[in-house]
Amino acid sequence: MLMPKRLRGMFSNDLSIDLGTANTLIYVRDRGIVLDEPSVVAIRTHNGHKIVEAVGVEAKRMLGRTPGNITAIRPLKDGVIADFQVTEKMLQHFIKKVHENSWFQPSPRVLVCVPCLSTEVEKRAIRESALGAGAREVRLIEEPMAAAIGAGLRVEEASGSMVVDIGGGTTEIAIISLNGVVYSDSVRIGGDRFDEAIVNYVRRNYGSVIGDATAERIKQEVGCAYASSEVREIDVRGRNLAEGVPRSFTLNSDEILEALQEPLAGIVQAVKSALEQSPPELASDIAESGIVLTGGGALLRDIDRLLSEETGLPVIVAEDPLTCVARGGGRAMEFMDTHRIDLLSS
Amino acid sequence: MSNVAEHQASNTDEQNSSASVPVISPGQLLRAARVDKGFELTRISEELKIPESKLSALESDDFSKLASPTFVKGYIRAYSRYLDLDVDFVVRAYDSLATETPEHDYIIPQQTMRLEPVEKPFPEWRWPIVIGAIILSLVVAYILWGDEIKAMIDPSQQIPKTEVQVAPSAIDDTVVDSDLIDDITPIPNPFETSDQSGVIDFSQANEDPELTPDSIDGGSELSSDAVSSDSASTSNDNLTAQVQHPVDSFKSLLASGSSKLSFVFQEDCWLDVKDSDGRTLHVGLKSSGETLTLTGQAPFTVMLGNARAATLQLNGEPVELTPVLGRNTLRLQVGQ
Repeated sequence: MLMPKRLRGMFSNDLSIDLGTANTLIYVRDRGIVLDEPSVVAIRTHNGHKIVEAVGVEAKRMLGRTPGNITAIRPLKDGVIADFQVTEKMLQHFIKKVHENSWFQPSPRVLVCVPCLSTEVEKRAIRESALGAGAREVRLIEEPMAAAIGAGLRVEEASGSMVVDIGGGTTEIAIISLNGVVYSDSVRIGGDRFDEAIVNYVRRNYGSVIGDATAERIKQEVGCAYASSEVREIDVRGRNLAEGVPRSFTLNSDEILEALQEPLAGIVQAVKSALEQSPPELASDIAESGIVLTGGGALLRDIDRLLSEETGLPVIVAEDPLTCVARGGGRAMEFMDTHRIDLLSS
Repeated sequence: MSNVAEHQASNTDEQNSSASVPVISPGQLLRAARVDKGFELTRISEELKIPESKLSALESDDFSKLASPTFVKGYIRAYSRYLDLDVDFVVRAYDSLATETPEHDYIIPQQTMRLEPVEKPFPEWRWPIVIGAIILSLVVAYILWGDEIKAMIDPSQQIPKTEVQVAPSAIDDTVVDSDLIDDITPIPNPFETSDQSGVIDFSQANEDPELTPDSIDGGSELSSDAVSSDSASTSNDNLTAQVQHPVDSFKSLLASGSSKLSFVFQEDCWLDVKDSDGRTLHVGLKSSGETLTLTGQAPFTVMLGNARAATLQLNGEPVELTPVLGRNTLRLQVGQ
């Protein structure tokens, strides 16, 4: 139904969207997290026309299993938009999905979380795709700020808090004080790089190829970041490169730890350099309270232990780390009407 | 097995089934487990990198000395994991304590309270307002355009509307039918129509934008439209005949014999005259000083390219030729 966005907006909710490389989460004011789906779109090409076949969970199931005329795409890469049109379609689908019982085409006000070092072009791409998906007003917030608010840190106090948000594509590190980001850094290492590292490890050591989905399952079930006495095992099947037939083999957590060394070292290095560059007063605050981990990467077993050992600081994993950014964005949105919060733009 | 572990084990089933709130405080749980294992706080502090003071504050349930609940929960998780306690159980014990004390959550400091209030969110009472606005706009629309709405609903009241609607079709032929404009105004005496047929009510013509088309121009356009305007004029005849039935008596009077039209031109003027049957009596350009006399069956449909330059007499009686202000062209019916 064609109506001005403003009028349609009266019947839409305010949304906070965590447009992540791996998952997209939507937080609706007064309703909480209403959508948590993989950022995957399956597109069918029919007579030269592209039709959206599936979005989210359904599309993720198709990843790596599609026939020639269907392509399952992850439109975001390294935390930023890689395929503008597909992102727009995906957002449109998700926004519609959270307004299922609405009479009109929704036109909500939207707060989107963006990586802290994203360029103006990348920010603009995110804003435009949200507008194209029907939003009537788009605001952007830096991901670590949203993560800190979502983790329940007292960001408004004159005391430093350090947040490490390990997402699918990027790891965002920020030191926050007085509602503002004092220092921020973003490294393009995240869950995807972990999966990639596992795929490479298996190929090198077992001569077998496994898919990204299998690598992700291995990471979730036996992956760990710090050597512990408990060793877990998992049976996986992959295509043997030499024989060309599927083979089954067993991986244990020590092997995965070895596989993950490189990306983990990257994250540790980034955290250390953030600590090095933090102003001394804030560094002492952080030393006293500690570092907070959020994002899906925080669910990797013993990653807090690794960072704690490497930095010598207490490291804690936030409650429900996967939804921290979306929840924090939602909370920021509740305040942005009445109070000024350090949002990137309006 | 330690008594704390037993306590924990006995509670695990209970919490799984009914998610009951543990009565024991998290500090007591942690301290008992640590003492049971014989660990020193210093050792744990070194292992977990949590300052010793914070650990002892945790054990004495003195959370005010600790940072935000996020950190408290984080410490409790790390500590209970180190002591091999059920992490969720201890965290739940803390939650039950924390809910009794006011929630330390995200608080906006006072100094930012008055800064830049942005537009208010659309509140919950939006529905009554929106519905009220719709009803109000409907009422206003009815007051403003009620008659038209009624006419649309009731076809019996459509006669005045039809007259108004015919006018644009005449305009499509790029000619203003002065008779049609007259039709809008009530005709007080039908027997005066022959004299007044050329009179145009200027006020009315100017008020109605549809009746003063900008496209009306000189005679060159008129010639191309001559044929189509013919059909329009005949349909107009039918209409006016319908409306002006009192005129019939006068018309029959005229119909008994043929009428005579006499034109005198002061300047060049394009002319087209048709009789009642639609036959063209004359078409063409008349130059300055020329006169023209035509006889035929009234009423005549006369089109003049430069009406201000011509005078017309019907059966010896003058007919006024005054086009709409700012226009030279005129189309009229004579001898009705």
